[in-house]
Amino acid sequence: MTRMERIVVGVDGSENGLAAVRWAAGMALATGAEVVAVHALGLLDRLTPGGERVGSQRHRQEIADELATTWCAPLRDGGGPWRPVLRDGNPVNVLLAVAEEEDADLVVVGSRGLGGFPELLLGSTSTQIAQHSPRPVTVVPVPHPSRTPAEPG
Amino acid sequence: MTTIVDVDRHDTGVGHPERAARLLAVDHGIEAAGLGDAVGRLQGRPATAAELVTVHDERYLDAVARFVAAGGGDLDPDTPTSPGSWATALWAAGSGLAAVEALQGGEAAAAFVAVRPPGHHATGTRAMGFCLLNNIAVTARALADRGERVLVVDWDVHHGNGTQEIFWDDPRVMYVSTHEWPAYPGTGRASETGGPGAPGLTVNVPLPARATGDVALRAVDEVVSPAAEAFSPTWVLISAGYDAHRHDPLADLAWSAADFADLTSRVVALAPGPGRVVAFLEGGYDLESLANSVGATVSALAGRRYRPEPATSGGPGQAAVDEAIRARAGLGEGTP
Repeated sequence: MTRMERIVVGVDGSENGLAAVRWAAGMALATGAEVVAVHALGLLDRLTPGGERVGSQRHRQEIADELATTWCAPLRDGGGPWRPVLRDGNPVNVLLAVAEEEDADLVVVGSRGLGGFPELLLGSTSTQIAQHSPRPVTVVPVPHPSRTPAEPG
Repeated sequence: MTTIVDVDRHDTGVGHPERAARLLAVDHGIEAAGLGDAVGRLQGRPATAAELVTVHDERYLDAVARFVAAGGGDLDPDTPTSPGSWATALWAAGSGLAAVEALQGGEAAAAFVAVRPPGHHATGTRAMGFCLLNNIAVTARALADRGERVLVVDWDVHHGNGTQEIFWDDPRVMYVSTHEWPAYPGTGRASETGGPGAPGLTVNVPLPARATGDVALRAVDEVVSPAAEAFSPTWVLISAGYDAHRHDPLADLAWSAADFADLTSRVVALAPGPGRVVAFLEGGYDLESLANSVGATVSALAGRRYRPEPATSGGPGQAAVDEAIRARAGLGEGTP
């Protein structure tokens, strides 16, 4: 097996995205790979919670700051090399495109993205990535809230 | 005017900007323009399966229909659906065809198709950006299949990635877009000019935040019009989004209602004659701005002057237009 050099992980600010980042951070530490953490800026990302109108540049910077700090906390704390990437578009299109550009050895996504078919032909974001990616994909389940490692399974 | 306001059952949930009140705002805007009998009202119609498969993959259509029938949900992070969404989307996709049928019957000189969900982000196989079916593409493809040459002008603030992709390599359809850059969906660079079968038939003019209406008009005069005149369209379709308005919450261009009136007049002039222009509602999420801007657009389609706000000028973006002009020039002789 060739050495793993780069992991692309999808991040969206959800618990699901955080689980994917945690897993990617662990894999990166074990392999020495760099992690590229990608967030796809959607249309609704443009709306602020309070309805406050902010300029495009400021809004983009706020999301970038959130991505680089809160959403990627496991990477920031992990000590290995990593980069945040913010890109406009649909999550499936963006993740597949960045994985190609970065020549990723592995693509990591959470099992339930924010939105997506739960089943059927097209699948959720994670299913679509797994279906369409020419690169290896890891789908990380979200920890069940009622279970902790101390509880038997 | 073709509308589906009476059959709109597409519920995007509390707080979503692409909401049913938008079609009511369109009605109010046209009423406020005081056009009276100059505007007739026509009920749209649903698209048939045979009409939809000219644009969308049959498996995609089946999957979305079944998903919505099972109760709906999010098709992507921006695009929620409800149990009524599929039927409404079918009406939205078919109403442009109803408008064409009315124009061919001599009922009007131009049509405004007031529909939702919008369509220009929907690709042949994917719902995204509030869009399920590509409404304008269904009409453009139907016209092209009858031997027409179709110009699609997209002035929504977001690039119409779906429409561009669908007609990328189709020499019968020219796709032209002005849009904010950088912004969703991340496509629409000036260097995107069409596939090998349709070189130069995709024209993109990405504009910076705060660009004003005078910049858009110059883009039409110096980029869009020369390209369109060389193409010689027999029909002109407009993806008429109103989120480039300066008050829109989803973007940062700085246009006004009067700018949309001026744009409309310029684009209508690209058609070979009356009865060959259909404008489709795309985005536009500030209801008052949407009403004013649609009123101005429909007035211009009817040859009337209605400017509830003054035109805008002086913003950035001239360099972006220069770049689009250079991108066209770089395509060489013989390109439309």
